[in-house]
Amino acid sequence: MSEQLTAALEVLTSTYQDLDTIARGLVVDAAEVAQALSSTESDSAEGVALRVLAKHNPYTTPTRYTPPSEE
Amino acid sequence: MAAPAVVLPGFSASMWMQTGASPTAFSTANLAVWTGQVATIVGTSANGTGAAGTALNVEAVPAFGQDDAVASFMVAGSRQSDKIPTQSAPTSMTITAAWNPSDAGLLLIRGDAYSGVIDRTFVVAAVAGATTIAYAFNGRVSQFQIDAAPGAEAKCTFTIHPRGNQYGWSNT
Repeated sequence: MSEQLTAALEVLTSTYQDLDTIARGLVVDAAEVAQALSSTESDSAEGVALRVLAKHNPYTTPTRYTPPSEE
Repeated sequence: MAAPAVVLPGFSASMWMQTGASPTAFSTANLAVWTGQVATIVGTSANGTGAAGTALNVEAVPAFGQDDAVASFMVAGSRQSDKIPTQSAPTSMTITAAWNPSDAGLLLIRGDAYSGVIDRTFVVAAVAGATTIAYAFNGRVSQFQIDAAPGAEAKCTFTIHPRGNQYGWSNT
């Protein structure tokens, strides 16, 4: 996990403020958040924090572009 | 916050609070975590562990939650205040309980009310069988009053003021 995401999780799991408001100002890699979310226990403070980060940093797995076939 | 994952028809509700005269209230994220967090406040009768909490035997809890509100700001000397609409303002809960001077929970509540600055985590648990849905929030207590009318059971009334945005849902 990157230092950036670790720091973001530290902030989100320890704050007493609104998680949405805080998460909006945190810069994280959306792909890393999605990967961490898939391997983290959902019923944990990190799981809650990652879900809020994922809400503001949505990630879609890129798919290879297939050009239309020429007829 | 995660919404409740199950619907509980015919549930029974109970209220729980952190013990300790100077508790450390849960962080916002932990208010939405059942395992090892909210479960430690909720007692075994509501599927928790109860290691760090006690039941608050209340008779009536009003509707509560967050709604729109208006914040008023007044400058000294001016005739009119500014009214700023705010969203999601927490409502306070004025609660009535049978007064028992030996009840540990009510004594903590009375101490909190006398202090006025103690943040404590409270949990409202809805239980049906082995399933529990918990609404946890941080709040401060004020306005503790005992109504010791001689013709009826003594009651106490107090108000819990939830801290803004400090709440979470969790379930078993």
